[in-house]
Amino acid sequence: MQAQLARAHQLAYTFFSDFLRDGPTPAVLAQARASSTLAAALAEPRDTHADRDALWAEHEHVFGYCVYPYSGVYLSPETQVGHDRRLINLYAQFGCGPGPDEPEPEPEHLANILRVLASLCRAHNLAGQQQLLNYLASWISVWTDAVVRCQRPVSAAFACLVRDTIYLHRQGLASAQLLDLPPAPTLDLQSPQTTLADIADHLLTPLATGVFLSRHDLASLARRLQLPCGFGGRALLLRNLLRSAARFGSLTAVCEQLAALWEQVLATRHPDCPWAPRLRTTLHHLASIRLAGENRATTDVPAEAL
Amino acid sequence: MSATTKSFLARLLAMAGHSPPNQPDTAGDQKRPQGQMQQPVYHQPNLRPAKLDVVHHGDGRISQYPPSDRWDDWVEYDAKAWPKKLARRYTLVPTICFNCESACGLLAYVDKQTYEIRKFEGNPKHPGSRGRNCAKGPATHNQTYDPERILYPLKRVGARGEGKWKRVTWDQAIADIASKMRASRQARRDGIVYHVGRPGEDHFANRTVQAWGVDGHNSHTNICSASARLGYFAWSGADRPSPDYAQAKATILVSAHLESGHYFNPHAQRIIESKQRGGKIITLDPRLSNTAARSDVWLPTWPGSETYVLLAIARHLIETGRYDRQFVCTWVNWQQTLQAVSTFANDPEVLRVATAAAEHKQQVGAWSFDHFHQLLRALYREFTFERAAAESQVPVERIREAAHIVAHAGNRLAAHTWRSATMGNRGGWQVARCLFLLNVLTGSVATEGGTGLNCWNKFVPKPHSQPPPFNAWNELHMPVQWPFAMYEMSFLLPHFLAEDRGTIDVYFTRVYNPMWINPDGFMWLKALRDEAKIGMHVALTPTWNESAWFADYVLPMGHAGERHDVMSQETHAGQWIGFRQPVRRVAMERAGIPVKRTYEANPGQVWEEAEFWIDLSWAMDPTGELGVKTHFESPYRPGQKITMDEYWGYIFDHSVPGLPEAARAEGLTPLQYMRKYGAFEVKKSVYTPYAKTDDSGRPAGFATPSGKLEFFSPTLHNWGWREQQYCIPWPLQSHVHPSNLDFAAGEMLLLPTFRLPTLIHTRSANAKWLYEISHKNPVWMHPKDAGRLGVTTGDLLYVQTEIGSFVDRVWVTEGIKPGMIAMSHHLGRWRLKQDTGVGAGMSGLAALTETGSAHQLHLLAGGRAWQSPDPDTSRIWWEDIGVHQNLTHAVHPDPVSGAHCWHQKAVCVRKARPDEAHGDVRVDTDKSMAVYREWMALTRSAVDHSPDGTRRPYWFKRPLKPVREAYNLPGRGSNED
Ligand code: SF4
Repeated sequence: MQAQLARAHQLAYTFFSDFLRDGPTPAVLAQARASSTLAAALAEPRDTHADRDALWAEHEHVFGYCVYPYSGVYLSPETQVGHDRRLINLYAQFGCGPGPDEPEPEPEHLANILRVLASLCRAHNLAGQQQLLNYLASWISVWTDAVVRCQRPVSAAFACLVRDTIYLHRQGLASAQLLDLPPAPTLDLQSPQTTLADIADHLLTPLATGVFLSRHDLASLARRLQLPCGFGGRALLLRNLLRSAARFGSLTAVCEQLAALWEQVLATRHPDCPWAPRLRTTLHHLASIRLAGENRATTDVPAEAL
Repeated sequence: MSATTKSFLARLLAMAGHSPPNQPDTAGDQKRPQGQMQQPVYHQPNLRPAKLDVVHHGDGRISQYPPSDRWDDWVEYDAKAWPKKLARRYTLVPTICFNCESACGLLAYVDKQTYEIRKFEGNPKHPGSRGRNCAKGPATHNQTYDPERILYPLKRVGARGEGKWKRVTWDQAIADIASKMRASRQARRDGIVYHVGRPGEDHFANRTVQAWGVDGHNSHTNICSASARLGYFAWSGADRPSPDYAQAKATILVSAHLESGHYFNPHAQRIIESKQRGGKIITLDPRLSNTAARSDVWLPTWPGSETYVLLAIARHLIETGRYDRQFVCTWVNWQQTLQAVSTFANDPEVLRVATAAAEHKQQVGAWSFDHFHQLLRALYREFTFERAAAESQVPVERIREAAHIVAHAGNRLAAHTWRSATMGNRGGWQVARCLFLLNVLTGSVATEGGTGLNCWNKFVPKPHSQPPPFNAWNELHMPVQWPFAMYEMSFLLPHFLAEDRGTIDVYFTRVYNPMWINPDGFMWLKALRDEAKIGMHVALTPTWNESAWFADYVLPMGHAGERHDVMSQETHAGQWIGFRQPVRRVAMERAGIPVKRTYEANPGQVWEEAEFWIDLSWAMDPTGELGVKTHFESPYRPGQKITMDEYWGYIFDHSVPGLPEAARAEGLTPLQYMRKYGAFEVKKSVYTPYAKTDDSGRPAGFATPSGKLEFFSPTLHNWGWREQQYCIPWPLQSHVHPSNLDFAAGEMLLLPTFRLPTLIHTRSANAKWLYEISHKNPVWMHPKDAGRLGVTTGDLLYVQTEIGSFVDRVWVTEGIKPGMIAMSHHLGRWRLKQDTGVGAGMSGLAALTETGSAHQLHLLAGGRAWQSPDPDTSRIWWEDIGVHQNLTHAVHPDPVSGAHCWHQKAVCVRKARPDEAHGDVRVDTDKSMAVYREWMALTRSAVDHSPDGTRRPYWFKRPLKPVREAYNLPGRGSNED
């Protein structure tokens, strides 16, 4: 029974890894039918080029353009790949780190982590599984939430399946605590040195706020409020959005909408979840920004000063 | 959650259990011994990040580019292989976009292994485009790899238009064409015609035609910009404006055609820059374009009424004293105006001022500017906001708001008009005159944030030798009826041929599709098919087009990354030059692979014009007796054909100020510098050059006979256009003025003068990405009219013009004024054979029927997917490829500028009947000729009105000017001024 479960986990993680890495290839899609939710999302016949293109486009859009499947994005204060040493240490512990002459295999890519997890299942390395599951479980919900908000059915079903499998597997192993989150970067809203760009960068750092604001989140928020946010990276979008919100008197609305998003995420978190305090702090920040914006509007300070 | 996840795991197991026993275990790495961890492998990138060049754009955006010192060897991951890290090595070769006249910079990513071009991106070193492009720039890749493109020279084998071709060599084609040219040149000086669409280069072809010694240049200008050119030229001696948008406090766009559809990228980015800085935008356009929607004031004027709005703003400036008296006094020919006013005005109030001014002159011996001020007040006193509102059908407060914005802009008023109102209406050239009046009154002529002239911002270098002007006058191009034509009366060529005014021996259409793009296309069809009228038709084109179908030779010419040209454009108040290059050739040469002729490096045997013209001209005059060959000899190797390196190298060495020094600073020759960067900034800014003085202290002034800006045009006055409405900025009544339309009888105005910024007239039909974005041109109609006619969006609509009819779908929208319909002018491509011609996804399969003067085009099928080496062709999902409306447009040559006045009278607009199909076009060419004659009757011929016995004022521009004697009317005087 245990062996069967290990085999099942190995197959599941391999499938997840393939899906993330290779995209919706026919081989991957064949496996996807094992999940009733994924199968339902894939229910439409997808035999024409256009349908297959749509699947590929969704895959690129969600995992390439909007919600990056790299642990470093969620766990490093820089929101960047290549900054989470703990994972490298874990790999080294399992004996799967890159050799001195080997090319760097992007250890933080979720597909890679899942691949390693599959190998740990295959090798019946329970301690390794526990450690890696604890690592994954510490941030996978932030990633999953952001994917779900993209409102693309196949990707959403897939991300939930990944998260749920990890959680269930971890439960089954009676795993130890989640890995501690690295300390949260701070934001000093009182400081006159804090610029609009600093605020935007802070809001874009999941480690600080507990939410990954994707390009989809930002663009749909801008659309809802009929504010221009331009094109480009997340930082540029959010800076543009805040600047135009200030200019067009919509800063309150932007803060309200962002707060609603944070509230929504907070509502799904367990009170002991390590992300909860960060979510609450951000809500606090948003309220302060909103207030500052309202005060400035009454004193007619130019938007650029925000 | 757990139940579904568990069942997923169970099913996975079950699925794995059914796998064949020998199937490799996808989860494990079979090459590794049991128990060891599998190492996931993506690819061998081993890349170290490069520090990218960062460009901060004026509108606050930031872009990043590969640093130019790494362009020779640039490595980046293949985006298509994501998430695999597939590293590719590129050499980055700059070139110039060929898809509109803006000449933006492109950077071709040429794979170092295969010499395939992987993509085109922006060139950050280009001063005009500053690293950015519109959608058409990167789509050059589509054009390069279009599976339907013409790859080899083709010669017609059946009857003209039968669609039968055989492949020939370049040598064979050149030998045949050159022998015909030689025979023609020996017999006459107007038998060879080079008919160009958008030149997309700055002198090579013109120099070539001049070297042939014939009056053979023909352009598309009269269907494009002739009226705007005349308006600006009559003022200033330069034929196009060059606004300094980025610094402007106010921008007036009389339609946004140029900004959003033509010079899209360089202008658009600078307009947005000004807006970001608080500048205001005023747009006059009956259509709610993207630009209108982004404007501070949108004035949806009735076509032809723009002059009233502009003059109302002018009056506001004059009446409130907000005009720049000093500027007007210094730079406008106000004394000449005061002197002439009694010869053109008949308004008693104006004449009273004229008399007072003349008396003053007599008494004190000089004119007084105060009288000119009084004259302006008297002349324009009736151009109130209310009158403008009534004429334009725009709320008066909007016009007032626009006037206040202009009044507060000081001398930072950027203003522009090119198509739309100027090209739509009879008398449209007065729109340009009235618009520039605002620049003159505000003193914002070539100021920072003002409006300069192209001659100051466009840089055209000089080659090693310039052929002398020819002694000939081609009556088919510059007939006596239009002495002010700007320029050749090209769209009337088939009408002139039909009237037996002449014939053509060798007719080159160069990246031009006259039968499709001109009005009255069936007249073109008749002319192109008639071998007695056009002896040989050679189509130089990168792709199939409807006119090439009726050619004797179809010669494949290169796109942006496949040819050498130099190009510059007045994108802003600076000056730069760009270098277009065949990027694969350059990449090969960088790798040490010798390439003698560009077609060796291009796909198939696609060539470039520069080399082709050299070989053709050489073959036309093998002994040199015609004086042609000498202009194509190397300046370094006498008697030998010039090479590309020699030709462009000479120019960069000798005629681009500052370039040799800049190159030297980098240890490069000027040619190497241009090959490396693709562009060079000659001057960062050019402001008020007319005020610069020479050694004797004389200011440069303007290129008019008076040296001033000519408010009153003595030239128009002397050549028969003596009335006030012609010789000073004044409204002229359009042929589509409401009083010329019988709305009660169902007549409407058809406005065809706009296009979608993602397309390029007939050149983008081989760009799949662009066509996916925009492929149809429904009829825009206001809900009021739709209600009256009982149609809703998607219904078929029958539209009858003066000469024919078409059927298209309707789009009901408030984005257009009531009383008119609008249709973008670049869609509705067709082909006559299923598998040849314009690509099947971008054109409809059509059948042509002709009975006497009655012509019909019937679409048998719309766009469709098809199998080709490019899988995207099987993904074509659209069928509606638009309707070819231009076929049904009657020709409307403006009697002064010669421009085709595009707006049409839709004599009947109704819901289509069941037997009328989408795309159906019917035309009666007898009616075509009747309308042509009606308009010709409005002209004032040089024969009757020339003041000096010449055909055209000598100071007026022509693309290629003949010698002075050629201007003389047969048996008449000489041009001495
Ligand atoms: S604006 Fe014109 S030149 Fe520039 S990228 Fe677009 S098509 Fe090319």
